[in-house]
Amino acid sequence: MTGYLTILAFCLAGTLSGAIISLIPSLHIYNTAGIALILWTHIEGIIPYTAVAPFFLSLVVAYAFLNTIPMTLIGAPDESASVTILPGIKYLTLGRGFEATLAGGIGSLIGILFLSVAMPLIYVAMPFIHKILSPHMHAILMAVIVYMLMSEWPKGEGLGRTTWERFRQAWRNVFAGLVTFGLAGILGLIVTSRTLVSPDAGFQNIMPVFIGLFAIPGAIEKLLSRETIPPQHISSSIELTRGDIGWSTLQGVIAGGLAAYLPAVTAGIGGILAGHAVARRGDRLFIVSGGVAKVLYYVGAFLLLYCVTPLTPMGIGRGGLSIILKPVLQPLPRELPMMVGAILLSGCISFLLLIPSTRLTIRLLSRVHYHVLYWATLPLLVVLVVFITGWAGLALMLIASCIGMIPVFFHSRRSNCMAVLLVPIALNMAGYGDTILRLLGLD
Amino acid sequence: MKGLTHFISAIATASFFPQVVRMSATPGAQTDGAQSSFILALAGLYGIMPDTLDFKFGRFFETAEIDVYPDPRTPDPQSIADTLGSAMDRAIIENREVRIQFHTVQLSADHWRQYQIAFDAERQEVAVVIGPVVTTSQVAFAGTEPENRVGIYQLKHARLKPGGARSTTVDIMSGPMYGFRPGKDHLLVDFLPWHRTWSHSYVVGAALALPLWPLALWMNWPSVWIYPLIAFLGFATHVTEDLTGHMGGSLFWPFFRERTRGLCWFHAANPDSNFVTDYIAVILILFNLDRFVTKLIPLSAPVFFLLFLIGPMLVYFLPKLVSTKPGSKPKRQDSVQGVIEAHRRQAAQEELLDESESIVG
Amino acid sequence: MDRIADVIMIMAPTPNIDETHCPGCGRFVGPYDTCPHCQSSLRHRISLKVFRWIAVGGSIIGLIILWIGLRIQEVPLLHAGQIDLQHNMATARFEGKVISVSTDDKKNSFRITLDDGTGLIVLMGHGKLSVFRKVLGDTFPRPGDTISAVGNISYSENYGLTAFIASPRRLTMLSRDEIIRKELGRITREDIGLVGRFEGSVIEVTPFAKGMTLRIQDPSGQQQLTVFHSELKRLEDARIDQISKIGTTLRFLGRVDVFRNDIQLRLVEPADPGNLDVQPPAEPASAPPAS
Repeated sequence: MTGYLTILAFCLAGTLSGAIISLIPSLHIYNTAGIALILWTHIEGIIPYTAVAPFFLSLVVAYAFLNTIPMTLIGAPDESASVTILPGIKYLTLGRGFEATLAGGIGSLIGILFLSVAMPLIYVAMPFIHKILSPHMHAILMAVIVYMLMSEWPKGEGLGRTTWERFRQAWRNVFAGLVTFGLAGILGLIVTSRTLVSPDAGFQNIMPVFIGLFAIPGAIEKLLSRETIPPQHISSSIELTRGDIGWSTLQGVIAGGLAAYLPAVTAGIGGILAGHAVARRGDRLFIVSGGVAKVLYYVGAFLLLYCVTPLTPMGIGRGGLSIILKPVLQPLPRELPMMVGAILLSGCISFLLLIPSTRLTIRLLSRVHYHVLYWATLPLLVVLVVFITGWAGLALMLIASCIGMIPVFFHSRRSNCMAVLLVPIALNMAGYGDTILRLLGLD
Repeated sequence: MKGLTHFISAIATASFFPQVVRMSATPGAQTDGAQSSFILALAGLYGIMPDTLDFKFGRFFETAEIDVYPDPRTPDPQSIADTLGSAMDRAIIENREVRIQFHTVQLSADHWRQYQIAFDAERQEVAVVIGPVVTTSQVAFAGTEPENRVGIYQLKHARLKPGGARSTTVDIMSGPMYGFRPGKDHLLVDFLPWHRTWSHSYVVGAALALPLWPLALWMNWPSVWIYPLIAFLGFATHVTEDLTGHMGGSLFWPFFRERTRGLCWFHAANPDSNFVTDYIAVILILFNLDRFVTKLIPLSAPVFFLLFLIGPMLVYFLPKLVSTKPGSKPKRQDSVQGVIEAHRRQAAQEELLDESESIVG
Repeated sequence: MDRIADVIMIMAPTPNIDETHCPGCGRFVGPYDTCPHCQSSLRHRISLKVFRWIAVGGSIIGLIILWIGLRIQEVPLLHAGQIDLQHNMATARFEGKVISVSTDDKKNSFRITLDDGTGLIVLMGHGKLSVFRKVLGDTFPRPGDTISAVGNISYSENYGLTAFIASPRRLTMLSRDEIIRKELGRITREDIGLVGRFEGSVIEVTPFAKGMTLRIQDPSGQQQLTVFHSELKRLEDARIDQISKIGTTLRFLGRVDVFRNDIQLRLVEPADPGNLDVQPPAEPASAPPAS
């Protein structure tokens, strides 16, 4: 009974901690989880061993839910800076940000319920799928890369007096996407071969790169925007039909499933693939399926670690949380029901927390301009990078920021930045690691 | 079909070759012929290539004689209709192809002015109807249609064949191009005349796949012949899949340049046909990867396909099969024909009123 | 027009129409510097242009500087005993004595256990054995060698402390002790860890679950030789059966080890050519036929 109460207490603690951390814009849960784990090893007894996995899992579940708030509410893109607007932001500009956030939360709740119900099937089927696909993983990743590059269509209409003018105007974003991919890929090949960061910060040696590629450019984009957020209506209902829920679940499961299983494929990339596969349009579909995908990506990937079977005796560890906890965790299949219980509990509490947190954020944003939040977040990110990885990490972050700003200013896909991991992982899995080191002169 | 469908289908086609699957495996899989090859991705690359050639390259080199840029502030439907109709008549008079490009009217980052182009073979007229403002998700703002929204042009020389011209709605992203050519008895109307011509030819596919042969020789890859074969099959998968749509393709360009008509089974953007094809392709890929390398699935092929293909497809289509509601979506706006008829009635009434006024006056 | 303007006002209260619409022709142009319809220049976009050039230029220059910096920087040396959770996924250099080498030709992989005086670390190469053998040749590590290796640290509950080596050029031989021939009776506790050549005849065989203990003898004395089934499986020839016959003479490359405080010998890479020679006992002469 004591053990049960302890685990319950740490589930709640993880949920609350994750909820608070998630509200900070641009801060990723894996950065804080990594730091928390180091603290745990140094301060013995702070979390009993049996509660470690439930605590961190609850942290990540809360993040999957509450991260929707800064993603949707904090910052509106300037019309002059963007050609297309994401659905969640569109709702924000229409005064429906509360509804959009809750719709995303409903998607995350659907994801939690799906995982809880489907886990027995996943436990049986995934080892087979894993063993069948493992020998071809490099080819699968290369196929994802090829599709990502080939599916970025020219955004411009091809206006201009000459053929060259039309071509140039339309191809600007495509070319920028290719350049982003190439530069990010080269950065990835370099930092996975060697790194400037001291070995003492090895557990977070990729953190400056990701903060530079995604968080800093995102913050700068918001700071350059001159838009103000209009007053938001706190609705008592959400515009969703049963059809929306059905199709969103399908799309989100495909997106999240791909992201959870394939290394270096994020929920964003999975969303592109799933969106093309399901081939249905609609803002509500996009928002709700995004919520489903996030849960499968963050939480489902970790649960694969517990698929310990004769085919996969070490489990199928995927995702950031698996990498963070692998040094201290030995997953046992009999713990899986407990993990499912933890995500159900944490998910439901997170959804309940989402509603007042969204209201609170809207009230805060009516008093404080979102620029202030980003001006506060930027130095926090820089301090975090310097504190954990030193000045070398800061240098890495600056280089990555330059690359990450290309898609922002040229309106190409930000997911091209994932080449930083996709390219080295695909090439290493195919056995070209040695060749790369030799070509770069870093062997 | 959509790009991802072509991509996965091409990979599924390649996966039927045992040698390809084994080449793709890493040596750690302990299978003969394992080379960690990226050949499956090559199949996907060629599978998506035809539309890439058209939409990313070809269309910029295809110029139209006439560009239509409706005025965003006061769009004039009659002027647009006159331009369109004159182009069609000119094709007959001058006995040559005339191409016309319609452009979208973007009002802001998320707002577009919609307009429709309709062809009436019964009356031998073309009509342009200015629609409402729509978002990029094509959700219309009812009541934003302008007062003067219909323009009609009576064709003088060109004759339209019933069903020979496809009406279209111009709203978001980019607008369509039409090509008009004099035919034997009627005017031939090509929608997107640059699409699915040379890029959707088996001959061109073979020509694009052929350079892989000398490349494989130069790189000293084993089984040199397989690379161009898989590339061609990927390309051919795309061309064949597109035949299920309405537009078809110029299958044997340059030997036969006419674009064939498709089987008209589905529209290219039909979500059901795309998703079902994607799912079938994924199941086939898994099945082939296993039977040629890992050999783990303990089920026979019929049982496997019954459980993982037929079963899920039944579940997918179950809501539609049991639904008692009529399947059509609620109409968001008046039909084009309805608007044109209303315009005609109003024009007739106005004429009658003018006549009666002149008699009375 | 008024109705359109009203719609935009309601739906997006503060669109900055002047800056997003071309001053020349009035069409929406969004983020472009030059209007694609009428080619008017939108001068207020210069600030965005600066950021664009910073982004592209900074990326390229930054990558070049990073690459040069990494090329001249030495990989830091770490000791196995100081490795902690925070070193997980770091790239570091280790130096020490090779305790054991295990290879798997089927999986094309190897494991090298290294003792750097502060602890043990296992260096691993998945799917790289053939490349390492080809490049390193004779300098492929053997027990007793002192080597330097650069690898990516992996600290896990399942595998313990390991480092993955990506390239044979990241493995350097520092010194290799000459392999001497030692008599069985002269082996002492001071020889623990020594790799040498040994010879003896099998006088006793004691099987256990995972292998067998052979007692071998030469004129100077006796020693225990422990052989595991997993080692024998790699031989794939008649030596598998012959090795456990009483009277068989074994000449092998071995390592002096200790188990439960008793000295024992272990085979070193028995599958490698020249490392294990097995001579079965001579067949007894056939009796002459009865007259």
